[in-house]
Amino acid sequence: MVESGQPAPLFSSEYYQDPYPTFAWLRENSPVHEFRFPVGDVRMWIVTRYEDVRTVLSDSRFSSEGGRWGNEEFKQAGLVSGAGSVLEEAVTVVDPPAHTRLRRLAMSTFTPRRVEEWRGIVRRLVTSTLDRCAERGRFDVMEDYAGVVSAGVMGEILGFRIERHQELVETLAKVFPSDPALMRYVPEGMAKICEYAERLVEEKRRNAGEDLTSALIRAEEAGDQLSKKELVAMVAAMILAGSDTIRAFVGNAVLALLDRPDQARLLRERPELAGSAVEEFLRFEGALSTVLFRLTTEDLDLAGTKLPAGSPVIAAILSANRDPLRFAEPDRLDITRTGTRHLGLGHGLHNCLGAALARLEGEIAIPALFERFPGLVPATPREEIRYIESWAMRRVVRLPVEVAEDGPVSAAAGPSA
Amino acid sequence: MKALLWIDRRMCLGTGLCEAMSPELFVLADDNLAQVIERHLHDDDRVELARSVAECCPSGAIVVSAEAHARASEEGTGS
Repeated sequence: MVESGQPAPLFSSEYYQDPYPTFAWLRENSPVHEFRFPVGDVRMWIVTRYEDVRTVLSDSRFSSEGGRWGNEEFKQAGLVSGAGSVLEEAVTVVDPPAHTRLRRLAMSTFTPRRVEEWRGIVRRLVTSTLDRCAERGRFDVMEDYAGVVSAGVMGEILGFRIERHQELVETLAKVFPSDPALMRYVPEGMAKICEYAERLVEEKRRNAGEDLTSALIRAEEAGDQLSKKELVAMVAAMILAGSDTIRAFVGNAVLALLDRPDQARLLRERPELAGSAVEEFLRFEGALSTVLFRLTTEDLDLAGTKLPAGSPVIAAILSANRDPLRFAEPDRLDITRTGTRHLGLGHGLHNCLGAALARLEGEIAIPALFERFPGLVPATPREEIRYIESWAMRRVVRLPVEVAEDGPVSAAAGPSA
Repeated sequence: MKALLWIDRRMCLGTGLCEAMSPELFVLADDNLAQVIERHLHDDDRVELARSVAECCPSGAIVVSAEAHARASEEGTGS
């Protein structure tokens, strides 16, 4: 297919703006591909086919514990997630038995009743945010809509006092910068998130409420509870994994619909498609292009490629979700698509802990924008819409839109062809 | 303690968490949904293991039930 063309090198500026030709070339020519990671020039492998990505995420010989299994080169380069902070032992980066214990205690708080309450929180925040966007007439989907909703929902769910919400939005912007020049502020932002989490845990210990933080404090399985340190790590991990990802996801979905007015119209006309639409948005362009590093615990063979013990492996879920061996016409967005499960929320042991919240926010926030503003159009030339340069997160920098004065152009038209 | 283990396949999303946590009890079948390998659990360790996986399942599709209670609800699920 792409035999002759030289695709953009991995993690180059050109790749970040359009990684799909690179993924297509890799799936075809080098599905378990050795390369050097730009940070620390570390030798690693990237896996791009659906089948192989699933193997990496479900086979216990690919560990998430970088500090334990990673080779020296990997550790020296400072690539161990959360190293030196409470996040070192967060649920995202530990394997069983520690993982089982943490995940079980966390999941015990996600009761159906609580998830229903979240639905109310999301609806309310979406409505009030849309009201403010309507007053503006012209706004940035990333900053004025998706960012406000995602940070607001997380703040409210965890029980932050409302006056701290804006602070949370600003700190999250520091941790997940759009501009590579601002990378140096990441550690400072990260420390702040851990500090917020710690203060929140202390506050809720003194004064428990109905929020998730209080529920985590109370959570118990057979006499076992989370320690203070584990609580702080859990809350910090939730803030980090559960706000900017949602912002990215909502932004990508909105852009996909702006690019394809027929799909936007279909979603407006058939609101019952929201569930399958969200699955398709997660497949088509979810928040992450790759998941966190996996490290091989022994010498092994993956689809014919030998990997020595301690090797860092990157599983490219965005590429897996566009694998033509698994999905018919993978580059086409079809909100009525059914069949093969996507890997947009990961797979296996570390599949998204907050999947229920992600789906809920997507099902409410994405259709609501197009329902409120049927004539929503981009307010900037398409080529000016840029993606951030992050190896793991896939998110547009800014997505300026405006509300057309006359409402939907297609108001009088029948169903789409 | 004895228990019966099964998957409510209408709820399963095929996330593979159960297979990754406990390949001796669960497997993802050809249709990408989970299937149990061992249906009747006879010892406490197995039951406890199944319970901990069930409590981690993101879609709540795994059911661990005491044998006696299980009979009725088992009808019709056909996993």
